[in-house]
Amino acid sequence: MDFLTPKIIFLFLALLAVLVYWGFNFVIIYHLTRFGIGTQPKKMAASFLMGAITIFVFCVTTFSYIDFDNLKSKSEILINKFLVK
Amino acid sequence: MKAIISLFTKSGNHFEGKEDGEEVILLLRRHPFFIILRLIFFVFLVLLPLVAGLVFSRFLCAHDLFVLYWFVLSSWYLLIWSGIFYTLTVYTLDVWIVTNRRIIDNKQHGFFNRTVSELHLARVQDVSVETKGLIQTFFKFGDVQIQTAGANEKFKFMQVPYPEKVKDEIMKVVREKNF
Repeated sequence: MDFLTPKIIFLFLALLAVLVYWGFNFVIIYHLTRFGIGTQPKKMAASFLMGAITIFVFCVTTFSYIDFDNLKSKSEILINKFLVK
Repeated sequence: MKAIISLFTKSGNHFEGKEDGEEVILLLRRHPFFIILRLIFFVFLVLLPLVAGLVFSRFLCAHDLFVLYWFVLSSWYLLIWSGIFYTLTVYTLDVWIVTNRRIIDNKQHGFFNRTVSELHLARVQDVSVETKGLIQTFFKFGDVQIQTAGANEKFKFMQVPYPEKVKDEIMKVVREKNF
């Protein structure tokens, strides 16, 4: 079980969250295009998809900029600071 | 590609189970007042992290945590975006359809919880309108109740805009169908 490092577990959970999120989005788009009456729900589905992709790209970009080593050391400092207080 | 584009142009008021020659006369949803109320709640959720960001801006700056803040903010907005469209989807799919042959009540309780009931125009006996309270009177919406030929069966359109016009339209279609 050496391969189960915290990093692998974290990546697995992140991937799972992404899958659940896009699964949920798929259900929204499916319902709007399949059961929606008229063109309005289809347009809504298209704008939803575009918005979701845009925010998702922004989210992934900001995630890639996070320096986790730096964050870890900072969180330790902050925890120590608050615990001492 | 043509098929995808046609989704936005050619579908008209087509719905699942529509018969040949059937014409949609009224397509009704609840009054927008209800969806606006829910959207106001989402606006509050959108503003919440921005306010928190402003309040804690000095702390975030001092500890160089702005990247983390942007990540949390965008993740929050991802959830809100889906939440908004989930609400809009349920609202959009919860419809009453009046065609030249029948009345269809399409209740969407959640994604996988749907009730569809229909009533043939020949069974319609009475149509009544109920507008209760200040909000309904002010925003011009109310309930339309359709009494059928069955024992105690009733069809109810809840909180639809301009209920009197809806009632008149239904009565007109019923008269045309029966005489």
